[in-house]
Amino acid sequence: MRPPGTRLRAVAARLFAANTMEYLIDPAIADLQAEYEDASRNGRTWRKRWICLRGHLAFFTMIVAHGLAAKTIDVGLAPWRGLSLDVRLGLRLLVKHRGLTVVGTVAMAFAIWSGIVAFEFYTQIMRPRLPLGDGARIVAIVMVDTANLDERAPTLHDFVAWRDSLTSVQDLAAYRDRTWNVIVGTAVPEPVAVAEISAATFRVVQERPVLGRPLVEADETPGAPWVVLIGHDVWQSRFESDPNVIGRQLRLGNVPHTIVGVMPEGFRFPLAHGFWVPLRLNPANYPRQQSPVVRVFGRLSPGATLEAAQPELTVLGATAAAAFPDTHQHLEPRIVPYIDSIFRGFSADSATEVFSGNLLSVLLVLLVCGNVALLMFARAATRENEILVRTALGAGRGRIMSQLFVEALVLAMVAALVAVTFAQLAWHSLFAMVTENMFENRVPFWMQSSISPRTLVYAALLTLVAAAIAGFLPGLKVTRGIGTRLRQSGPGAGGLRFGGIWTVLIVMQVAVMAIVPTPVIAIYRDVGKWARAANAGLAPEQYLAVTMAMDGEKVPGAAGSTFTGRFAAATRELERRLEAEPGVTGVTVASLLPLMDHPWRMIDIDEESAARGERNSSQRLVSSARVALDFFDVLDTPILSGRAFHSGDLQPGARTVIVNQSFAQLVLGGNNPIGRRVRYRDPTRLNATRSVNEPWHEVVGLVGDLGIAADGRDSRRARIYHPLVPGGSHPVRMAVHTMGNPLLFASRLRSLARDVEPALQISEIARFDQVAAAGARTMTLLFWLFLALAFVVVLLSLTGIYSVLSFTASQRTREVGIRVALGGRPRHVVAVLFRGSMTQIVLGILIGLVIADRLSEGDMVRVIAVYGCVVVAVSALATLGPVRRALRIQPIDALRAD
Amino acid sequence: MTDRRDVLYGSLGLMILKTLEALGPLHGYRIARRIEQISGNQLAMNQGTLYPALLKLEQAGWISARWSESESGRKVRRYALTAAGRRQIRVQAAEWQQATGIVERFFRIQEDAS
Repeated sequence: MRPPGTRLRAVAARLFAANTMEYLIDPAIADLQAEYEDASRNGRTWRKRWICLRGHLAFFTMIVAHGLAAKTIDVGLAPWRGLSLDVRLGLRLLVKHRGLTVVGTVAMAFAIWSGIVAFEFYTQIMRPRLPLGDGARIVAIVMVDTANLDERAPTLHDFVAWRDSLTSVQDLAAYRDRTWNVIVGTAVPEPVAVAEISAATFRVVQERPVLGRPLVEADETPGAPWVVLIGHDVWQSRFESDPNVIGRQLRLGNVPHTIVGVMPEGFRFPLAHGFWVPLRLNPANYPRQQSPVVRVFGRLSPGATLEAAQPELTVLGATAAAAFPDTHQHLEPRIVPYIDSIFRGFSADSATEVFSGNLLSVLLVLLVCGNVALLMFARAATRENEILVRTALGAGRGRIMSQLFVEALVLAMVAALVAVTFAQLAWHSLFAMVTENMFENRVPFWMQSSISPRTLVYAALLTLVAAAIAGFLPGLKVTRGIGTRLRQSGPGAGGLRFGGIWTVLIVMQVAVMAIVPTPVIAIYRDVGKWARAANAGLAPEQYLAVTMAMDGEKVPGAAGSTFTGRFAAATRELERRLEAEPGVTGVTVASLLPLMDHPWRMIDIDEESAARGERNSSQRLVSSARVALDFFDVLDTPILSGRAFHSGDLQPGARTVIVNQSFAQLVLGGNNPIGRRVRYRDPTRLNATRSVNEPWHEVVGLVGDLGIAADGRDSRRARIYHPLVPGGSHPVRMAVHTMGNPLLFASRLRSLARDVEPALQISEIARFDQVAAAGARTMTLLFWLFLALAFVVVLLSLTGIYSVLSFTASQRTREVGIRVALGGRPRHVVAVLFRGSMTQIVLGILIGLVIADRLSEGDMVRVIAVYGCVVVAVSALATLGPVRRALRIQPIDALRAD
Repeated sequence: MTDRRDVLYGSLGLMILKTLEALGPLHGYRIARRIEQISGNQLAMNQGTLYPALLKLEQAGWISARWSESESGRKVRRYALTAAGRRQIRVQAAEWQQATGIVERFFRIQEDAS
């Protein structure tokens, strides 16, 4: 990992003179890094974060508060000099109207923030570009099964056939994704992603190693020495950037490989790889039906296009289908841009969704800025006097408009700064979520965990749009007919009015304010459900979760024993050694642990009901897991009725299962599950009423819910546990029950695993509660997003109400004066003054509450009623200031107001 | 004009000089920690003020600085007291005593009055 402050230093080096760097900034960053290193050695994460945060804050304080002021420091920038009068006025207004500054900043920042995040998501995840030379011409070939429109990877035989005859793609290459343990010297083995890849790759990507040579065709011949090309990161972290690394050895699995080259920084093609070994697959060694699956890619020949290449490929596909109907009858090769072959899960629909997400965020910017424009208009109205005087002194309409625009721009820029900072944070979590869910925690080489420069340009554009709306709209309104007003009268005479559109806007906005808590509360309930899930039935903080897998090949001495047998033996031995460790009170394994995402399937219950085809009552979606015999024992979950698993359940044909309480409640309607029989439906025939081929399983036991929330109507929380045959799940998850903090046990576990079997891959070591399904995090993120949205909406609405009333009061000063002078009672004057505005507010609230009630399907009547009262009360509070101000007007002052 | 920052600089400078006198050459982060420690953690040392202060002292010739390696082998800028710095400590200490003495008298006036 890069030490903290590196990027900051790079930015500073561009801004400041060499002396400033030498005497001020470099010492500070060197100390920050030294302190960070100390904390790293002590292994305290929170302390490291705190040091980073404090270091960065200190840096900015230093630059802003001292750097600019110190005469000796040649800053090279004098930001305050030469700024136009308008900007200075804008800055002054920010300070003077603090309320507007805060509200405007928060609202605009939120809108711009959502724009940035949506755009970043779109450009980085939906429509990314390959950071390789002429990357748009790199393509992939995939197979589409025309029978069910499934996409699948081609086989080795397909690859060889295409390579020999395709002309519109030059340098066709293939790779296989492997996970092997890497061992450098005496270091602990660690599973890494290795690409078994054709030598042609390095012509396709047009990248050269920084050291040594790329893979060449000679490396692919059987019997050639085993060689490996390593990535820049690997070279730095595992070989301390040794310039003589070429010729050194590392082991992948148990096979020593000689390093022949180091690829440049950032190169991790095809996905997130740091090791490349030659693809040595000879089609002659495999029958066609067992041909290994590979991924195929290449570079379009000069002048060729995707559209032109497809017909050529279709012909090859048809030839293959005719020659090998048993395997290729329904298969059709398609040529696609390289990235599209990796995002197979993304359909055109979700692309549209994301695009409309972008559009929504732009709409949000427009809406929010319209609101800010309202506030700015109210402020401009209070400055009508100033504007009239300026006009009288010869300022044209354009001059006044530009002044209001610059004022709005200053505000928008402050908001944009805030937005970019928070967008960076949000992008980090979104990025982590995407890489975890879509790429299993591997970061594709074209993705950046920070906001891209393109997005910053987009943010600047949004800022300009925001400023234009918030500046020009009020400007237009204030300056319209200003000449007439100048001739007629002064301020306070009621020259300015809110138009019909503004009125509708206010009503709508108040309505939205009333609606907004409904989704927030709904999501909050879901989040609560997830949170409760973590504690349901177990003490997650006492357990360590570990994922174990094993290198599939290249294990010497493997002859005579099957892979499953070796994996089972290694797992059992590790279990035995762990149980002997002090501080460990239990060890068990399962295909999936509680709180992980479980796959779900449809089931039938009992022969009779299945035969009757009772679809609604007897078919359910349930989740399932395979667990070791001692699983419930180690997790301290008692068997509620029936019996636990015993070794007899592992016999072939035993087919026993244990179900959880939710299963008994949801699937069996609270009946006793013991003795009932269940059967999975054929997943390919969801609509069929019979599933003849799947065997029946007998329920022998009932356990409490583990890691599943107690409420919720989703039947997928019903779970079926099958007994796990040793070695029957690869990878397998291990749960270690420890006394004290389980994470302290992680390194000991790794070294035990190395002793047991060097090919054993240990990954995803985490405490149980950290394993919580990704869904929980998505929900939490969504909840915070909605909460922020709700906050911004409520804030904008309340300030909107406030400014409308203030505006009304300020515009009708003279009217108030006359009414009071003629003997009008304060109560009546106020009533006349605010009748219109209050009607709008109450109307808005009513509309909003009705819609909210509909949305929640009557689920939250009480909540909505209480919230309605709160909204009315708060709106009334917002009117308090303007009303008092109106009542304080003395008749004589009011009439003198011209 | 004397503003609060100058006062802070004055006392911070003295604290840094005294720290270097007591402990010998140190880098910025150790100086900050030491000042916090001596103050009984009542002062939270902002590094944003520390480095400009160090630079000021260096330009006055009271401390010298050079790049060297820390205990963990990392490159850091280490500050040491100069002879002029040693004299400055005596001057500043005297001034400080004098200044606090004066302020002290004002407090006594108030107490007498009450």
